[in-house]
Amino acid sequence: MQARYWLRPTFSVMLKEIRIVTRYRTWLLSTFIWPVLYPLTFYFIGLGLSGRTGQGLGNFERLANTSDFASFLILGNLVWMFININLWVGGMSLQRERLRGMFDTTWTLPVNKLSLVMGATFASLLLNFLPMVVSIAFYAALGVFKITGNIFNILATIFLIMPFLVGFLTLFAALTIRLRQANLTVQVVRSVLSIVCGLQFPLAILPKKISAISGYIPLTHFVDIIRGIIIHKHPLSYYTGSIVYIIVSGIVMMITGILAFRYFINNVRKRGLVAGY
Amino acid sequence: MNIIEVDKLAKYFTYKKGKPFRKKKVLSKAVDGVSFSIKQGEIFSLLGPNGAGKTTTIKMLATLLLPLSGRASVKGFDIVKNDHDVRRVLTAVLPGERTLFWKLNVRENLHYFGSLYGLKRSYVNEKYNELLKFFGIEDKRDTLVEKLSTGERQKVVLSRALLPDPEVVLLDEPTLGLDPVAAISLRQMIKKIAGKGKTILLTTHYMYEADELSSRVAIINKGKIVCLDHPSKLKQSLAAKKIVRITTNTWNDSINGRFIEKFNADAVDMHRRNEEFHVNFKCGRSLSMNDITDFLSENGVKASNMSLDEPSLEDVFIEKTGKSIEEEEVGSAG
Repeated sequence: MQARYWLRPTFSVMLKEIRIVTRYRTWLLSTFIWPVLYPLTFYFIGLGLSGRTGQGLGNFERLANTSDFASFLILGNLVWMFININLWVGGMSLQRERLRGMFDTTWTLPVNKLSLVMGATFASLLLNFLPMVVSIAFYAALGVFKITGNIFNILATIFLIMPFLVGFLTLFAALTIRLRQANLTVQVVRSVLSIVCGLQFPLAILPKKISAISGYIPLTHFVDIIRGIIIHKHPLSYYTGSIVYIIVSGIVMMITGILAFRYFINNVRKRGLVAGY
Repeated sequence: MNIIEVDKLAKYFTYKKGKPFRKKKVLSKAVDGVSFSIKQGEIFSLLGPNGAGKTTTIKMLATLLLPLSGRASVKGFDIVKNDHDVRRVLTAVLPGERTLFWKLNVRENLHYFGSLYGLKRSYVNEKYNELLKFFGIEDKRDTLVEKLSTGERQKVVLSRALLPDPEVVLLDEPTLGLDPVAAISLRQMIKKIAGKGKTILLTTHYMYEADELSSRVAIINKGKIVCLDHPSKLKQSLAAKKIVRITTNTWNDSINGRFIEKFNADAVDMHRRNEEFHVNFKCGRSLSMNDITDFLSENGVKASNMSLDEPSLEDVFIEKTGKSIEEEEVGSAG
């Protein structure tokens, strides 16, 4: 397919999504409030369990391999928030078009349908970068979180997880057009990821059968690397095995996402599910 | 030259019906082997009640749905095998108010869709100005779509549809939900678009709309085309020369029989609504309004409403299907 049917459309979809989201004035408010408030609950839970003088930290340190529970929890929560927002914005992009009543109209255009998901996903990634920065800045200012890791390594790790994330969101978007609803799917997926990847607690507390699955999920490796870079100041080379795994699984997920998308767009055309809600 | 060819196109759907846990699959023949062709530059209407299969047909042509059997092509491109090429040569205007992004202004909407049509930015810049001028809304280019009136929004939708300069425009129930003034204005727009040499396939369940706009009409009912021709030829094909419609609160079988005998008429339809009888007759011979008023006064009938018309497409529909569009819609809803 010629580039004019996917390259500029991807950019246009991204621009359109950013324009629409930012035209709701409350967006700016939620950008500043949610990322500040949400991890705060977990911080206070951690504080409650550890005690003000840290007398209860021994167990946590043994399980999480760090006594810096604030950084551990805030980083895990930031990853959870990032996944969560991207599932709602990128993964549900087609379902949202359907609810807006735009889905079938867009379908009749010669644009590559994958551009619709990609554009929305990129918009989501861009839009949600700001809340992450706000959250980090807030907790750094409070002194509960220290930005001490190598920024380049953090950005490189985020870049490496992108193929997996984009592939996953494409697969997710494909599922939503077939299932014609997404809320339940988002709830289940984000809860499962949160538990299995140990985003808000040390993985060591999970039953062995569940923690065995954790190692197969690239997101577990991702959050482990991010925590390692920031909390333990490990270099990237410390995580070579995880990095290779993230790259390979990212490629596999991208291919799976694209194939699933192609399958489902034909499936919904056959079943008459393109239109409707 | 035919730009659209449709040959025995069919689409069935299955849905579940019945009580919970005891639901059974029911097969619904939405489109059941329709065939027609449309010439370049023609306005062709698919006319029928809700659920007749019009929208399913147009959705298959717009590549939104895969047909079960049969084939169709647009400008020689098969709707299944060459769906991408089909989307390049046609645009579809589907029903519903929200076929634009309300939080974007007119210019942003048209640029967005231009990009999705694969058009160059410079081309879109030039073309959208021309289109907004054509539809008389050039002063609205920086207005958010949510701030436009329904009629203005329809004009933007049509501008969007004409942006890639398509050869075929599919309009699915374009005046549905519009107030009468906006509907009249939109019909004028459709004529203007046809004047640009575009081929238009229109679906409607408004008889007068199909009559006013179309060069040919296919009447579709229960997934099948029941007749297809120029509107005037369809009306001429009826045996009836005049259609008499009477609304009264005094009517019975005896008066009915006398009317039929006197005017060589066929009772097309007689039903009671709001304590009044609505009777329609097809008359095989010419008659005047005086003939009818004389008959009514001789029989002591006071009519609250009465008309003597040339046959309409509604009468064609009734003759071909045995029911009026309204009755057909009530029947399918039930």
